[in-house]
Amino acid sequence: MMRVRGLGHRSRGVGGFTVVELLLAMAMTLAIMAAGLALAQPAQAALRVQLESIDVTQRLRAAVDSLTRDIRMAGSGLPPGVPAVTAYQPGSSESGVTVRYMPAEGGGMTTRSYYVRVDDRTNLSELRRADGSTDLPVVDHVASALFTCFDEHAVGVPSCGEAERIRRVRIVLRVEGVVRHTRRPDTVLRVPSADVVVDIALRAPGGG
Amino acid sequence: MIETVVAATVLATALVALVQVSVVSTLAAARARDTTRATLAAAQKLEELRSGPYDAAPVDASDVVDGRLLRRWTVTPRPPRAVVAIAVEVSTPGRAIAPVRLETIRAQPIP
Repeated sequence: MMRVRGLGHRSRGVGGFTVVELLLAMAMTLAIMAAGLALAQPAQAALRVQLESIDVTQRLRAAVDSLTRDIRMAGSGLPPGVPAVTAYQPGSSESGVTVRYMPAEGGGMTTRSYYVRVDDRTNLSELRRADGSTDLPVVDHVASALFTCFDEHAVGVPSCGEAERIRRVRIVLRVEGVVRHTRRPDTVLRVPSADVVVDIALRAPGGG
Repeated sequence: MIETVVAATVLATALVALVQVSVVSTLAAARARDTTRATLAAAQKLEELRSGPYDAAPVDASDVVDGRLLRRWTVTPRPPRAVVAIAVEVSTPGRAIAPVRLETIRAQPIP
């Protein structure tokens, strides 16, 4: 049966909605959308924090990988008398560690220093790697990296000073989020920083 | 009216599904972070055991890291060779995360 819509033929029995029905439908839709948005807004804020947290963990992994690769090799193939690990202090407020080794693929001795520098102008802190000719950032937003050297009896070697005793380097790393917190209507969600203790044993501490 | 209710239900279901996705991704990220921390805790103990004096005596010990990670390590001699097998396992009690296990072999240093 064909329905004819028009001013002259419109009635409840033929088709269409009344104004009351439309208003009711709109009110219901709006109520559901409002409830949905109220649910989604905190979830969105939490998701932002979560994404930042993932980034913090990723940068932590990158820093640990880079440090591990070089410190583990320290001492490998070195001639007698060349220290595998020494303290590194490029500035008055910065301290780090220098490692030396002969790379397996040949070539001259590799010397790499790791330290954290805070840029006074941008207030950005970075884990940096210097090798004599270059000084480049490895990971940014590394708030601190404390290096401690230990001998084989787990006794600390002050200032990594007696290179022949050093068997292990401990790094206490703190990596912070690029965004420290995010706001949502009722509270402020903080992005947690990552604090880890990493121990790296020298594979060839006495050279060889 | 029925069409409206059906449409509203579909809309509500879609919104709930969207929220659910973000909840699942948050849980997955938390699990990944815990696994990374467990791996770092295991690697730390492994490196500590590697850097100590060589001792062929068997060891089976454990400790708690950060108040929530249970770390257990074993040192097992592998005669007749002068090597020991070192294994470190870190689990997170109360959470559905698979334990992290790292193993290595350490040879007696040549004098």
